[in-house]
Amino acid sequence: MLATLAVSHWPQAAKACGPYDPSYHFFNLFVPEWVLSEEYSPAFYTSNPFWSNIWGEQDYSDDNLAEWQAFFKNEVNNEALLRVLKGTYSETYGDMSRDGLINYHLFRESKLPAGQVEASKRYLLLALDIEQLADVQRNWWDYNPDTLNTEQSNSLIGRVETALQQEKFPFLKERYAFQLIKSLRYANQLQKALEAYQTYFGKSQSKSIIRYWALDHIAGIELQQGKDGQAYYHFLTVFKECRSRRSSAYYSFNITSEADWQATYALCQTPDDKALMHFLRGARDEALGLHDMEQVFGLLGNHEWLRALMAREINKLESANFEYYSERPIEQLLKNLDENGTLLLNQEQADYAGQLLRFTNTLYYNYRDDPFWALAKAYLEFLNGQFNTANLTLHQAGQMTGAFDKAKREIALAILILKKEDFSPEEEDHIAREIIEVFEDEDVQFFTERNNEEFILDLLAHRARQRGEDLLAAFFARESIWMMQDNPSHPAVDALIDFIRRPQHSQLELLALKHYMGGSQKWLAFNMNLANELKAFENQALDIKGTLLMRDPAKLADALAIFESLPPDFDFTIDVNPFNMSINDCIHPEDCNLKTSATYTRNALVRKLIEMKGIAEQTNSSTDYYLLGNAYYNMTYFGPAWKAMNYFRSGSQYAGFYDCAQALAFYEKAVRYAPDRESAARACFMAAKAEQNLFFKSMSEKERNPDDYWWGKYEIAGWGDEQEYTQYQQDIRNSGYRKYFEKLRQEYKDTKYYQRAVKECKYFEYYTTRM
Amino acid sequence: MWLLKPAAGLTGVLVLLSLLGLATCRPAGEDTQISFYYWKSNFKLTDAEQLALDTLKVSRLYVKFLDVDVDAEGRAYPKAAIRFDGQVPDGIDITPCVFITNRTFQSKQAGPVALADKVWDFLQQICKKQGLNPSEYQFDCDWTASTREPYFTFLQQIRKRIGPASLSATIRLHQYSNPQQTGLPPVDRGTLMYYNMGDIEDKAETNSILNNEKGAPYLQAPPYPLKLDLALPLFSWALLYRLGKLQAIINLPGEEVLELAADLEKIGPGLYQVKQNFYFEANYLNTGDRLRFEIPAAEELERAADMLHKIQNRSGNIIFYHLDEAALQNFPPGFLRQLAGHSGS
Repeated sequence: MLATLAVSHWPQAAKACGPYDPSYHFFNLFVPEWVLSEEYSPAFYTSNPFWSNIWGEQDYSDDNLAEWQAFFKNEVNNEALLRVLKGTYSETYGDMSRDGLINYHLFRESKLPAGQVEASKRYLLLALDIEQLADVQRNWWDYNPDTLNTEQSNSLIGRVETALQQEKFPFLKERYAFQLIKSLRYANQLQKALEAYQTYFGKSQSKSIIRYWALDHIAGIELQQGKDGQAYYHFLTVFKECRSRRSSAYYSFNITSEADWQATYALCQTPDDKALMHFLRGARDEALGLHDMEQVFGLLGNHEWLRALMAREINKLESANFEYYSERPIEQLLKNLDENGTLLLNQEQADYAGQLLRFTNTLYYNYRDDPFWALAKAYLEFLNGQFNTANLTLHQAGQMTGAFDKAKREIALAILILKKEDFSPEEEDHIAREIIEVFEDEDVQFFTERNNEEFILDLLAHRARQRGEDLLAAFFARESIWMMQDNPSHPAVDALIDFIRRPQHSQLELLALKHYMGGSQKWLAFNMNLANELKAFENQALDIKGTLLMRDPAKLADALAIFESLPPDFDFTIDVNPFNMSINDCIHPEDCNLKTSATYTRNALVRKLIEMKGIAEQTNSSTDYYLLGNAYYNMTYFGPAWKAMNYFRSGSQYAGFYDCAQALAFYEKAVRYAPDRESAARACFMAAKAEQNLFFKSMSEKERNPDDYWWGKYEIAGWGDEQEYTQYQQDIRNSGYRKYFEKLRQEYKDTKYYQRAVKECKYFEYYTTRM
Repeated sequence: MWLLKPAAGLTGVLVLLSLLGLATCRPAGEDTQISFYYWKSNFKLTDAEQLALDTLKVSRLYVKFLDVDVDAEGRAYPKAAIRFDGQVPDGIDITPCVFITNRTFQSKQAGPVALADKVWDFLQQICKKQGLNPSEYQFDCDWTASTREPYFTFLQQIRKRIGPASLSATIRLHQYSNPQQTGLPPVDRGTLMYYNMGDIEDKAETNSILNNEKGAPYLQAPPYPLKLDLALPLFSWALLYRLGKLQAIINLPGEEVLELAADLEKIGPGLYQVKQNFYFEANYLNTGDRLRFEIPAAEELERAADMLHKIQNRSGNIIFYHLDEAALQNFPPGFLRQLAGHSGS
């Protein structure tokens, strides 16, 4: 029981590996989880030391729980028992003390005989006390382990010995024996611990897990005493017989000398034992597995351990070469292919892959009905750049099912794309079909968490780039329409429209386009309704085109023509009046009560802008220029009517349309043609706002420091720091972006608007009083 | 008896002269304070180590008390805390050293203020247990421009706690040559680490421990704005390369053990290839693995000491990395005193 507490084994754990590694950092086409039993998952390869301790989670600690429940005939609350045994947080019992749980909750509803309940309580409470003996640092930052002194230890050991003698239930008696051995070990009474093991387990035929937990301690003691061979053999036994201690046994089975290896080997009773030794050594990060694979094969023939080791070795090569966080992973692979004739980085790796392949060939030809070896052979050939041979191997392997079929098709797909720079229409259709089927991507999501699909898509993107098809490459590189909406350009939008309007598309092109545009239909339905879907995509692209044209007042008519050609549902209401001004910008209109009774649809607004612009230009109307300035200010990132010309608004950086140059140009004319000084002051102040935003634009584009985000440095929330704020204001002025504040101060100081601006605008107040 | 092994590259005559302190026209290091790093996790001096301390009149040891790293969730934790199985010799001041990984300061979880609290408390637990009252604390972190702010904040927090004791930090060559970018740590003194200057990942590297061709350009930098102790390497190792990549570092006091290993084939100066799988110094080597033995050559150490002698703002103190009986076999006290004379004030 409570031996689930963190037993401090000797020696301490080395690096290990694990079944689930969310930090997979390489394209992992040879997925061990697909082709091997979960039981061997601890031996799966991971190169990330952060995940090297995850085997502990695969420790089958519930085996102990199951034994207890069998003893209790499932008469006690499972959740309470789990908390008692493991000390982990419980949904129902929270952090309730475990002795409290034992005394008052665990047996409350049970119909167990009173004698069994009392005996069990006695044991569980004593076991809790024994936890204090363990040399465990409960707090990382405690230098001195929280352990008992000799007198306290001996007292506890005495209690265990007494309880062991008095106990009648064999189940509990065996556990007391385990507690005694553990206690003696922690109290450094090693010889007594060995004697206790002999007394209580030495002649026993018991296969209970507690026996092996005790043996695990015995092995640790033997290592401390220098009986290395015996110790390692016992760890081997624990690994083999007791999955709930497999993790710690694996860590401890860390042979470091030929003498220890031979001593352990000599104790092995069966070929299985010897083969297991080779498996455990071959599965260590510190070893290449080939030699041990050969030995396992010699001892047992084709075996799951052999397959697990081969999967590790292949994954190592993948890890070293298919690193997708590297700068240009696909380019590097193709460079390797050009320079070495393989997908591998250097000659050493190619040589090793060749050795693995030779060994795999032996297995493949001896065990033709085992799909693993066909897959391994094909994959190693693939890594070695022998694409035709790999294809032949896959072909000769015949029909595969399930995960093997998936892996086979992924490899075949990768080979097809790596072999050619360009594809026939039939090949493109085939690739599209395989992407949908193999990666189960009916929605064309281009899953980024399924790295094998990413690998195929990255290969396709590279090929498209090589052919000069940058837009298609962007599609495969998982870019999407919102990126263009966020930062459109005429050439990019025009290219997209042209692509959509092509008279013919291959299935692969359509697949890529569908992902880019974000169509909601499943692939089959999309294809059946293709003409309408493409028309919808075209409208989406045209909407971006129109929005982009709108940004230039000279092209408003062109924008309107596009908007009016679109279905009515592309038009929308802008629920603030874009012609209104405000002293201070409001990021969230809903917080500022900016909604107005006068609203416009987007199309109506464009018409109005065209009309006003015409009037302004014909009559030099200051009012119309001022209102146009307001509209072009308010429709930028900074204004409440931003939706008129933006699809998104970022909360962390200036994005979309944030250029106030058009607004400033209109305000300048409003000042120039102003009928009175108040109007001129008002337009001048707004010009200053637009001018300041141009400073922000300039800074965000030119002086962004990755270590010191510009928008963080100058954000208004940062005003608390007087020094920074002063610097900030000086930066604006020194960069030439305070012309209109200065003009306001010099020329309009006597206006009412000036007084209002000083009162309401902190920037301006600072400028007039401190600069 | 101290022996200078061939790897150190000096003639017997020079050895003798060095031992007698007569081989140089420079001061023989008498004015220079010689110290050692002690970088093992169990403090227990051997007789030979003690003798070296006595011979060189060492009065200060820089002892690594702990490493600090972060776990998978980014939480900082102490690693490899020192255990004292032996007594601190009389007359020796212990400077507790803490190595902190740079990624500790990259982690958002490990705030520098809270971390300073924890590290300081941990150090005090050790000092209290050993009855130590250090007059100096040293921190070792390969900080970069992006981590300097939290690291320096950490150091400032430590400074608030150490009372009259002084605070020092290791300075790597890239930090020494470019303080504008990496910043100046808020400490009383720095220790310029003049070693580990090569690329150990590179299988074509010749000597990654000490390579004056690579080190010299760094020393051309303008005077460093901190008083500097100087640290020179006395260690050696074999670098294990597998499939073209660095696989392991094997601490080896000398090359002989490589020359004698039957399963190794010598393929060049200091270079060996594994003929078949075998265990070597607690490592399981595989066929085709390559080993490169590296040790700072004596003449290179002398050149290094000469160059370091010319840098400004040095304190005159020299710290050898590290105190280890096996390493001392290669570098006898007379030679070390000689080096101290080269690099001293």
